Amino acid sequence: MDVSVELKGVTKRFDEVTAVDNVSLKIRRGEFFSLLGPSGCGKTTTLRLVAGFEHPSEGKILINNADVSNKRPYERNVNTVFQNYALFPHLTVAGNIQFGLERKRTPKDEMLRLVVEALDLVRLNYMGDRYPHQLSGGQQQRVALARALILRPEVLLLDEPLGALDLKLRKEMQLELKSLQEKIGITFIYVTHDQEEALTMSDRIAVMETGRLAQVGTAEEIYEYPKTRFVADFIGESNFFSGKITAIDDNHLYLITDGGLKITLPADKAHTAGQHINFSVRPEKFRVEPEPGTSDWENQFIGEIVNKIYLGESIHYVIALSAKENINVFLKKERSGPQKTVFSIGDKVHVSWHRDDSVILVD
Amino acid sequence: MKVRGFFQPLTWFTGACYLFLYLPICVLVAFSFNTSRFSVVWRGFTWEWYIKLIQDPLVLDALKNSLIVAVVAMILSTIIGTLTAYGLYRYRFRGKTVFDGILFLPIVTPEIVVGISLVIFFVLIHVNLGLKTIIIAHVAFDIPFVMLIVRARLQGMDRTLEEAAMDLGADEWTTFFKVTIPQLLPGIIAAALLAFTLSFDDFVITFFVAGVGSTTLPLKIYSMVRLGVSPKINALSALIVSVSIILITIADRLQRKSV
Ligand SMILES: Nc1ncnc2c1ncn2[C@@H]1O[C@H](COP(=O)(O)OP(=O)(O)OP(=O)(O)O)[C@@H](O)[C@H]1O
Ligand SMILES: [Mg+2]
Repeated sequence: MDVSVELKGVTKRFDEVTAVDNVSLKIRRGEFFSLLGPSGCGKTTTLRLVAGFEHPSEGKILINNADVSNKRPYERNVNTVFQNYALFPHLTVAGNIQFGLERKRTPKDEMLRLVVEALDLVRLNYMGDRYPHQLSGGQQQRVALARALILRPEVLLLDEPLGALDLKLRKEMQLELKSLQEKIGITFIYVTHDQEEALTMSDRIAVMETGRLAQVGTAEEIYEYPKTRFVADFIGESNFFSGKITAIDDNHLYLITDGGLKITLPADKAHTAGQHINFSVRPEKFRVEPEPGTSDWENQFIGEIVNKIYLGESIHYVIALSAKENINVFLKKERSGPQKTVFSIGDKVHVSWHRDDSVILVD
Repeated sequence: MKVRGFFQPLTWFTGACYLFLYLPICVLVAFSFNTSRFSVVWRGFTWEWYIKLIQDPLVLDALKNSLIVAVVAMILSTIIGTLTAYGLYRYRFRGKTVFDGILFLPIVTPEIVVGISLVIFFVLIHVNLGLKTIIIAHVAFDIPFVMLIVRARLQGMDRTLEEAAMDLGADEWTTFFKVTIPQLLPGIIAAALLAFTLSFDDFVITFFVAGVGSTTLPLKIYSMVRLGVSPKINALSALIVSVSIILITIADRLQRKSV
């Protein structure tokens, strides 16, 4: 594997707070890697450690296989796009973009060529003479991007770069950023607390929880196979159950939930009968029908609709499966097929799901 | 905005307050154009006193001293004050809060105390009183004012700008000169103008640390007044007031400027 950035057991403490706690990571060259997590989980601190604004209390940081743990920010081949853009207000757009080139003493004519090229890359041609305060938020964002990219860093760090933009522009910039990254092939480390953004843009995602890595994987891995309750809850929505294992065979794991439901799960060699475990099911994995019969999935129960919320493209039902267990179910409104029926509160329904859609959680 | 009822007396009060502050100065300026030698009666307009003023070699000499002192003190105190304020802002060290706290102390210490202590200090280290000692004294009392203004500007500065500069390959010095100083510039200029004005106007401290032949304008006015108030003194005072007001207005404007 061609490793671009590696964190080896990195810990960062501020007085009392441990902002980053024993994080080990390998990020591939050219990868779009996202750090995702709730506010205060240590995303920005991790990024600042890679940039060199903070130094690790423990552990090592390697960029391009060289230990940079004690290098100053200007000694690292890394550039940052700041959340507030941090454009120099006393310099023009061109002045901002060529700031890094000037530090490298790039010859004048080459600098001019590169600046024009960079402006072109972010579609800001002919705006070189403006000052940052004369630009819109989206344009400022692009200047910040051009300023960092013109130095062709080994890694580009982005700290919630779209956080200040409105929803529509944000969606646009997401696509633009992604295609830009694919075009130039630079490693991106992208910080966000917006799970949708991380899922759509990233090659891989690291979900962080209070300074630790909760799970690292592709969008699909993380969404379909969350390891912990925290991940299952933070990414998308989930229904959580807990129960006691009654039997295990080669393909199945049988358990009885706290509410008395007999459930079939995929086999898992790590567990033994009698153990208490937690598992989750995504709300869109259920089939809900007025009559029994059409579904041949293992888990079939009769439930009662207790609440219904209209969401536009789908309907969100809350269904009671047992005295203790309510599930959230998202159903698309289809014009035909098994799900054409719209239910109302109080209806008795047949709920079923496939055993593989139950994901066993570590805690 | 409409002013009514309860607030009416308050506006009169404010007016009276400003009148009290500025009327004496206005009278002084007016009488500097009075034909009459005796300052109490208005006899007609004249430039005579200003012309006499610029023909007086002693006054010109004092002006020269004042300018030298103010300019040198301004330059030194601005540089030292700016760097010190930046050091206090940028770096964490033991006793930082103490240093921050005692910044105001020299400002509230009575000038007469500062003056006397400086004289004793200079005598102790065997320095002859003269322009040099005036400059040192002025630099000393200018620095806290410079630091206060620069500190206010620093606190409003976006810290990530410095990080962005380093991120783009600028070392600490380059970052300071290419990013920090330009951000602070309005504050630094305002501080310099204030330092110049304070130094140009100072009487009490200068009175103590001046030697023979190092008379500044305020000292000159004082010695002239002892021979009796004349329209020439009014003219000189009016000039000093005008210079001060102009510089302070510019400084104030600069400080309000946001970018
Ligand atoms: N310079 C600092 N001094 C002390 N504590 C800090 C410092 N920087 C961060 N922290 C603490 O470290 C923890 C992680 O902060 P960090 O900024 O990395 O979170 P984040 O994941 O980026 O959050 P957000 O999504 O809100 O930006 C927080 O508890 C924060 O209070
Ligand atoms: Mg953050």
